[in-house]
Amino acid sequence: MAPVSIKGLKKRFGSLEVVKGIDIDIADGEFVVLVGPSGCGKSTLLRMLAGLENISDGEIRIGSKVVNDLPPKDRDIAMVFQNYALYPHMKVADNMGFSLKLKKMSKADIAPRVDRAADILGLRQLLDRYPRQLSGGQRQRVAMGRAIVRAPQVFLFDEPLSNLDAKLRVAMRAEIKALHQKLKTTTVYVTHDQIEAMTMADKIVVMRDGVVEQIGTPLELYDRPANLFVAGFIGSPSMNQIRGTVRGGAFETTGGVCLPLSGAPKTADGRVAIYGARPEHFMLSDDGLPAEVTVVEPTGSETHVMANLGTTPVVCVFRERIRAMPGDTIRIAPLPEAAHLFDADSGRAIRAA
Amino acid sequence: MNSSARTLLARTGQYALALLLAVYSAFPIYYMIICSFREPAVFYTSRALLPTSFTLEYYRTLIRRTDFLLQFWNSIIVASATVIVTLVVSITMAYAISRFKIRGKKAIIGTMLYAYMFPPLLLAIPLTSIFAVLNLVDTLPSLVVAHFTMTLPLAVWFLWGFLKAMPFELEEAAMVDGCSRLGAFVRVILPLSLPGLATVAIFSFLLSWTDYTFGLVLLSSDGSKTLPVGLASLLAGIDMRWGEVMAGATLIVIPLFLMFAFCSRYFVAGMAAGAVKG
Repeated sequence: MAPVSIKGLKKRFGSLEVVKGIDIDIADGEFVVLVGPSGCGKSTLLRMLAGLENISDGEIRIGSKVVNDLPPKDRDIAMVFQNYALYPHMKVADNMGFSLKLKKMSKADIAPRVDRAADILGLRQLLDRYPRQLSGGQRQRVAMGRAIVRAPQVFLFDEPLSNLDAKLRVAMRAEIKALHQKLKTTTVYVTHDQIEAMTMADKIVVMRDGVVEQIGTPLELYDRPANLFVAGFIGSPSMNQIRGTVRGGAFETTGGVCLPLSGAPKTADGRVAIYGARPEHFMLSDDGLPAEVTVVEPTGSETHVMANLGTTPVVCVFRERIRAMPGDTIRIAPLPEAAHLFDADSGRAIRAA
Repeated sequence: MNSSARTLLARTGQYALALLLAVYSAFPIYYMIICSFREPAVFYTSRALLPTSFTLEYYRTLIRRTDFLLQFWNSIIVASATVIVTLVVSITMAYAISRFKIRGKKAIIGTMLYAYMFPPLLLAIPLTSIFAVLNLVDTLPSLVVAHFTMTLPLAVWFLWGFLKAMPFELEEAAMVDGCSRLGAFVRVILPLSLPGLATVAIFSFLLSWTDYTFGLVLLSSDGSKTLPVGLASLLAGIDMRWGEVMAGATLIVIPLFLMFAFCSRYFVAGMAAGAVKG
């Protein structure tokens, strides 16, 4: 186990800069998730950590050691790949013990470590099989087994669950998290799935276009997004973003509807801004604003309703089951204390100082 | 007609067709072997399809009175050298082309295919004059080089398709696990390339072992001739020694049979992999 520190990290492919100066500090034993849309540089960043890509500029430290110029094998890391990358010509046990064999460890020393890892992951019965004889979930587990056998300083995961079906993904998600809680190894995990990020991370790094948009705990990101991108990326369904103007402590949409605000800074008055409201922060209320229902999606535990607030389409999530039909008018009220305000030009959150 | 009877009929048809094709290709080989054991007295008169008499006379003559054994040895040396050189050079080239950013990569691959389309005879003449300048004419290495010019393009092309289909992550995983790049190549890529390498080995061997054109042009002395050229010279004399030719041809086939018997499993896998993934 070791802390990881990334400073001013850049990656250029020719004239194209894909990672544009990134600083992240990862504490010892922390589970950090890098999340962002495809092409945001998260996988490149992970590969630079692994030593599979050169570093154009900046510095990476694992523990106290600068690893910029170390080859992957000398970084004391283990990586789990999206397509598992199991060696097809080796049995499960040999796949898992390969790194130890390369360290010239004796067979007698390798076997117990492989067995222990196999026990943790429930692979005991599969040790004599070849990867092609395993299901997707089993392969994924072998790939993780290969990583934990080595007891490395840092685990790197590159979208490890995206090849699994939805149900298995949820199960493996919990398994990886439980594994981390057991082993407490520093982990960097890349995904494009914000739900994976929210459910697994101690700390999330949201990236876009090669820069970090925000770093924080899952709930910090959810409750206090630093900008419109993070606000829209984290949370499902997405936060409603409504354009308008701040006027006298309230918000007037371009459609002329007045939405309540609480604690908007005085300086914001008169500014063109974006009003952000999470779908679950709309309440059904008799003195709410009239909205015309367009689509109703019952999920069982909650009901998603798409409606037009004046001319602005919004998505609401209600815990209660409602009987509205498309074309009906419902009355909804946003919670003023849960509302977000963003600058219309920069997209940055406007907060009281 | 019910469906199981129809399946049976279709099966029978398939087997009949397969048998017909097998007989069509195997019959000349069968007849060659029969003839190599037929006694001289009836050699030119018998038309029997089954063995009627048995003699080892042609084999004895061939081995005692001609350079057959020496030429067999020459062929073995040339073919083995061609296979080894082809394997080593083509796998390293194919690996480099498939894994590294190389300027003019497309051109290299394109030229490879173009070179393969060249008729061998067209290459034989310029190659001979080059070897003449280098003082290499009538030596076995010159023949290896000539065969190599034919085997390399196809081998690189084939292995390139093979390696391209192999996920990069396998090597990266090996490198994270503690291999150097060379280590990952040797421990992961090479074992997984075995079907491809076996395929390349078979066709290089086949090409070199059966080559007549280059052998004829490049080799002149009896002692340095390879089998196909040596055997053909038996027919060029005043008397046509068909019996010895049949015996010699039968012996030529043996290494090919052995090679296919050992490698056919890999060969088929290699062909399939190259065809589907490449």
